[in-house]
Amino acid sequence: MSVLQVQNVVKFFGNLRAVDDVSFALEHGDNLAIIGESGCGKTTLAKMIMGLTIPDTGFVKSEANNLQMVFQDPNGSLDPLWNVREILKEALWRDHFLTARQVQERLEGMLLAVGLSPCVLQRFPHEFSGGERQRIAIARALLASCKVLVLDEAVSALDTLVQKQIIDLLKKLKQDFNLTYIFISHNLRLVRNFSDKIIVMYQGKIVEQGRTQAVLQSPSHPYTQQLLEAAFYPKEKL
Amino acid sequence: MKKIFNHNSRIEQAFASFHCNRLSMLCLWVLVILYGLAIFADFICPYSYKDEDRDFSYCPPTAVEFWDHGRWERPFVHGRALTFNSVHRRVYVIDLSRKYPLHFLKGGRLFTVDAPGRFYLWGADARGRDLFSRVWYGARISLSIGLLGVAISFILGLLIGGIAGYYGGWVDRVLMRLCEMFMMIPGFYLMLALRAAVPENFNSVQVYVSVVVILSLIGWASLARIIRGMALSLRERDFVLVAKSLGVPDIVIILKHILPQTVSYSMATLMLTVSSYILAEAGLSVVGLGIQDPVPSWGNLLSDAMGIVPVIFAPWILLPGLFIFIAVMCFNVIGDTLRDALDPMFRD
Repeated sequence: MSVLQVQNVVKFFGNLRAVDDVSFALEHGDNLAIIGESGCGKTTLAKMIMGLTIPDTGFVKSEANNLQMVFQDPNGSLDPLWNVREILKEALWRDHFLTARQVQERLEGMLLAVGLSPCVLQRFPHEFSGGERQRIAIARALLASCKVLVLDEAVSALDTLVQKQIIDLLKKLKQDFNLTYIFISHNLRLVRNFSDKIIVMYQGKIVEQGRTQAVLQSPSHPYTQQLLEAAFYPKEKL
Repeated sequence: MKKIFNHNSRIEQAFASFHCNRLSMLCLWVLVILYGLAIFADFICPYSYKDEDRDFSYCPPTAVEFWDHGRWERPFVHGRALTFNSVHRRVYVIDLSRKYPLHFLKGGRLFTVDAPGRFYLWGADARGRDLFSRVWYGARISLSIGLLGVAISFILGLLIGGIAGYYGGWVDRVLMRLCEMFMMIPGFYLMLALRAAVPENFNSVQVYVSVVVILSLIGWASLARIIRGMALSLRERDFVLVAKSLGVPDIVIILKHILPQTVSYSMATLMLTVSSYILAEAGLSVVGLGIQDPVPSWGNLLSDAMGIVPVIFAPWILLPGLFIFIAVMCFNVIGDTLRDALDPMFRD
């Protein structure tokens, strides 16, 4: 049973076909990577999956309220005027019946789960590093009890060491919370270690999809081959 | 370094730099004093605003004296005798035989004199009412009407601008054309037209409310346009997209995410707008369309000074104009300083 189905979606920006007839399905527990160069329509596709942009034709079908997104820019996705408590509580806005104590317990529990101390609740986003901010954004997404997490270049703005910490965290959370990931990236090295399925996009189209190992070892599309040559040194073993 | 680019610390910095600006702190204190005097007018003023004595029409300011018959006494005022000069103009001569001691804290007022005597600190108007008292009772209306009008037009402007910018599309087009219709008409004519639509027989409270509403209807449009522009860019910010994908209702997003981000701009504009509303109320009242006599406002006190004759023979009736000037200047200086402080481009 697929948790997300994307069927023939097309999105135009003026005359530009940003996303051109894209279809794929996501199974529960998948860890899907969408990869491609800047401007190939990855983020537009992500926004359509989230329902933030309406496709011109085609449709996206998903179980209601089980999708959340983590953005590339850790500065932008947390309201700079809100402290962490308010930011996280926004994810619980539907649960009016929770008492203050229950809210506090859930916030603290989630902060621990993403590797932050519960005493950061009173602090503001500018007091955190990029990696910590992404952890807060992930915590917020999980508090909204999402099952599918769309990670739009979620680690691209972080330095290599922090990238690894966040990737490890995501791997841990996938098991703890039984999550499904859509990992949007341009970094093949990360994707190779992280995802088990891959979609390669080029100029708005899906040019290749399959299991990560299979695609990376025997790319069929010339664009994928170019990507691989650019990402890895020729002699490096895949 | 990181802190400098943050919104919170920007506001803190702005207040710090406001605090360092001596002129604007002085203006702030002047405003505090003016509002304080207006609030405590019942206590500070020797007379009520409608307490009149026609025998003292345009009576000049009364001096408070301490020295009589070669010795110190408690403060007192001399009586006034009314005579006519060679061209039959009223002249008040000081009647040294009558002495009225000043009573402090008597009958709930800071200072008064006993009945036959009248104490005009800043002179009297045409009907022998104490100008000092009328200025501070008038301050209640003139200073509050600006704040109330601004409050209403800000709520209108922020909400309409926020909604137009957040939704975009046809909502934006309809609301912005509405704004342009209001901005097209010159402010003063719009005020006169709106005032003409208000019934003649309103009592003073109703007139006050209608003037507030009229003032707030002229100012919201320009603010709404600017807030709309900010909201247009803010709605693409990631934290707004996150709130949307969490399913937070649109109105909550507008009120809690979009509008707080515009606070630095709106705070400065708020101050600058208050002064224009004080002037607008004065303008309406001077031409007799604002607050109606006997209730005083700085505007209708000044309307007594429209003729050249009273200004020549009783120049003290121009005093309310001085207070309009002071209040407007203070709001403008504070607004300018706030704007410069909140805009990092202008700071230092």
